[in-house]
Amino acid sequence: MKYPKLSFVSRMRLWCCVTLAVLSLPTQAAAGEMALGVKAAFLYNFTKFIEWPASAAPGSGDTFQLCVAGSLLDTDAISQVLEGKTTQGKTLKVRFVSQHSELPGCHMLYSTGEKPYWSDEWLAQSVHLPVVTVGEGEDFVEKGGVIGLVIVDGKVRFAINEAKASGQDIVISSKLLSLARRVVR
Amino acid sequence: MSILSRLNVLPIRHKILFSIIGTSLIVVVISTTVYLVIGWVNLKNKANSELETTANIFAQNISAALSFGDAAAANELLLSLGAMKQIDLACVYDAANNGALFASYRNQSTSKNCPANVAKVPTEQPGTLIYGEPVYVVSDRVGMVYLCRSTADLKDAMGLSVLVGLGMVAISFLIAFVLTGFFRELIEQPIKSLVATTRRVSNEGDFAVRADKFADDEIGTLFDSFNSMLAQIQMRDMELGRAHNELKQQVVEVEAANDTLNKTLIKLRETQEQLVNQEKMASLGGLVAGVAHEINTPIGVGVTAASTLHAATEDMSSAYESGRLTDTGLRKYVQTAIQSASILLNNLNRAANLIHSFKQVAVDQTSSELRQFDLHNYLEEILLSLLPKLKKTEISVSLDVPENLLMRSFPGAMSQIVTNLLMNSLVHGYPDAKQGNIQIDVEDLGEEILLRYRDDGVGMCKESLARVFDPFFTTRRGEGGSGLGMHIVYNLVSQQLRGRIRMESEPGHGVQVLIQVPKQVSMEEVA
Repeated sequence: MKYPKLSFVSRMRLWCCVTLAVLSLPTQAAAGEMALGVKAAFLYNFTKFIEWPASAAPGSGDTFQLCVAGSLLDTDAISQVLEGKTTQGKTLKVRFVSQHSELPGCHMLYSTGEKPYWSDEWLAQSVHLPVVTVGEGEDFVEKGGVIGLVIVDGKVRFAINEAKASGQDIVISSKLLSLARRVVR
Repeated sequence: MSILSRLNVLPIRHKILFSIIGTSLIVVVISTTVYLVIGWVNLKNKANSELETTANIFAQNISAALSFGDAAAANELLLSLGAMKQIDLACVYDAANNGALFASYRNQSTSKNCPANVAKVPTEQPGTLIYGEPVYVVSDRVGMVYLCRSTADLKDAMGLSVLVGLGMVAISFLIAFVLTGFFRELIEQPIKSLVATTRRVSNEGDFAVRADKFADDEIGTLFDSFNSMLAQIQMRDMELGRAHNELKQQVVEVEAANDTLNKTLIKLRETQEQLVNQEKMASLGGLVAGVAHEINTPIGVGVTAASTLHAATEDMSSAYESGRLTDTGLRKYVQTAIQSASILLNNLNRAANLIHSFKQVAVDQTSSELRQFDLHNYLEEILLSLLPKLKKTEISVSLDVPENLLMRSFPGAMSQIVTNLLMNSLVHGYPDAKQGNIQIDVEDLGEEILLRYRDDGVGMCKESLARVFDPFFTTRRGEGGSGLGMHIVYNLVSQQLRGRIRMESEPGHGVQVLIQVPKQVSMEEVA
């Protein structure tokens, strides 16, 4: 696998994170990792309650394209949890994306919101594509994302922008909507 | 068996009561039980399917919460079960967490709690309906939803049904009781009246009583049969009474007839006796006539001889007076006198003999003297007395009797018997007075003698032979036959001579009479 070249700052930050992770209490590190794992599981669960149009991710064949606009580390972590699982009769594929042109080949786009992997430009690009954008924070849906993950009392919850989803030709199950903390209609 | 026999003792009204009420109660209880059971099963099925539907809905609705591990959302969702008061408990188990309890709902009224793990959920619990529904997300099974429902409300509903059922039983019992009273009257009334009628009939013996019919059913038929039986008995009674009266009348008549008959018989016997005596006198009369006729000849000859002697003596006397008596004349006269005297003597002797025998026979015939006699001589004397009758015919009578056969008996009876037999032979055996032979043999049997009398006349037919000894039986009535001759013979033999008589005959072969009598008859026996 070809990894993109990281900037110094990014590398420093990565090191810091690693150092911090090593230095900080193992429980904290575990909590952070668990949170990503839990989020990955959420991403997987979302796919079960969402219907994509047939035109979604052309050329993807029998694979479900989960694109991650985040660090390779995060992508790997998610990939470890979800790679090889099946959803909607398709094999789930976790893909690292950095170019906006890669967006139409995705069913779902996830980002931790970490720069420089993420910019709001992704949202602007996704307006007319059947791509479910999942991001962090409740304001993610305000900005034009479909699902925004929120941590409440140490548990992962989410908000849904149904208006945006239907504008993108995506149907979200009412069951999923009923679980959302907030639904933008 | 004991129940049946105990039931048999019951009066009919109780039987009717028991049969109707028992039957209706059994039917109502069975149908009510079936109705209740079906109701209970239906209720339970309905509750089950309701539970199933609810579980299904909740399994679908809770799938997202379960897959996202949102227990709060799941609990919130379950709270809506509060609208269904009958649901006690709802438990959601997470398959991803080894079947641990994920969310639960508990009705305030119940004390139950959800088990901590799906494995501990009981499949059955008394008084509770439990239904488990798997939760799927697409095709992944993510958990289980269990709903627990108390059957208390069902039982309450059933309680009402049971009350209704009991009410139905009670009402049908009441209706059956009332109807039984009505039907009992219908059935019992005629039977009671029939019983009363039969009692009256059997107690009073009054067969004119009739039972009043109530209806045209089997009991009505019973009444008809009973009445017709009574009518038959009554008719038979009447007929019996009539027959009885007729019989009584007949008995009276028969007794009267018997009385008349007895009187007639006595009269007849008197007449018979008279006739027998007359017959005896008649035969005596015959005897006298015979005697007169028989004596007439010797007397006549004697008269002729005497008149010849008288004339010769007068001739000789006048010749002597005139002196013309010659020696020859005297000699001729003496000769005539001797001859005449001889003739006279002979004939007078004969007459004397005849009179002597006739006298004996006549005396014997009119008296029943017991004496000793010589049968041989006596029979010859009898024949001699009958000679005048025999002389007119060409019938010869031969006698074969042992000499010196002495008997001590009733000679009159003997002479009467022989006379009657001979007269019967002459009158009946030789109607054309042709010639014939009559044989009288006597055999000495020691104590008894056997007298066999035979003629070779026309004989007798069987019918006449059978009645020959009957009094007044005669084939010649109106011609002088009295019909008593042989009856007298039979009586004399069997009563006076203490013997037996038998008569044999065939038409054309004459008759044979066998008489067996003892030689000695004592006076005591006769008396």
